[in-house]
Amino acid sequence: MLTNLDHLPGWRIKEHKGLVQGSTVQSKHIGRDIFAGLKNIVGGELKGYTELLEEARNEALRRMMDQAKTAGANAVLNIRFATSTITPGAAEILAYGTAVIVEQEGV
Amino acid sequence: MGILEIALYFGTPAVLIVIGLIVGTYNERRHYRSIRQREEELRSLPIHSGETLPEGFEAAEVKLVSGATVIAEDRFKALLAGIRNIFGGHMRSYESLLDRGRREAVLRMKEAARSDGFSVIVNTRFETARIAQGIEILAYGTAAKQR
Repeated sequence: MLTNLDHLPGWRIKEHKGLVQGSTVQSKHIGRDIFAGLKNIVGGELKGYTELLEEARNEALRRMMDQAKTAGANAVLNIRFATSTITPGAAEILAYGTAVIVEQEGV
Repeated sequence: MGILEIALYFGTPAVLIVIGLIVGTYNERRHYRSIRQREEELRSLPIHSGETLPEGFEAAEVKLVSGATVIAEDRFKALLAGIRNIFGGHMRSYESLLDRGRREAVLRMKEAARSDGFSVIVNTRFETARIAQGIEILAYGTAAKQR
C-alpha cells in the first residue's frame, strides 16, 4: 500500500523499516525530441514527454516498492517525488518514503 | 548579404512568432474551455492539501494517485518573456501557461482517482521541474474510498 500521508487511515503502524527509495534516470528519445522542438513553436503539451516521465515515475515507484518488500514491509508512507535535470539530456526521477509494517486497526 | 538572405534571417523567426501567436492563442483558449468543463464535472470529488480526511469519513481503502503534464511555451510567449526580462514584473504569458499545466495535472489526478472509485483526495502536493524543452508539473496525493 502506498500513500503520501504519514499514516494509513484504518491501519496501525506495527514496525518502521526505515527509508526506502527508487530512482530512474530517463533520457530523452531523439525522435520525440525533434517533435518537441517543433511543438515548441506553437506551445502546449509535449505528450511524448508526459508519457516518458509517467513511465519513469512508475518505474521509480516499482523500485521503491521492491526495496520495501525486501525489507519485509507491507506499506510505504510519506511518499515524496523529486524530478531534476542532471544533464541537458536526462532527468532523474526519485521516489522515496518510509517503509512500515501495518496491521488493521481493531484486530 | 543579399536581400533573400536578409529576408530569411529575420523573416523566419518572425514567421515562427506569428505562427506561435495564432496557433498558441487558439490552443490556449481551447484548453481553457476543456479545463473549465472538466473541472465542473469533477467538482464532486474534493481535494485537500491537508492530511486529515473530511469529518466522519471512514476510509476503507487509500491509494497514491498522481497526474502530470509536460507543457511548453510557444514562440510568442517566449518573445514576451524575453521582453519582460528586460523590465521585470509579472510574466503573464508564463503565468497562464503554468496555470493551465497545474489545473490539467490536478484534473488528471482526479480522473485517475474517480476511475478507480475513490471519492476524496487528501495531502495534495505539487512539483514543478524544468526538463529539456518543457516544464513538468506533477500533482499527487492520497485518494480515499468511503467504507
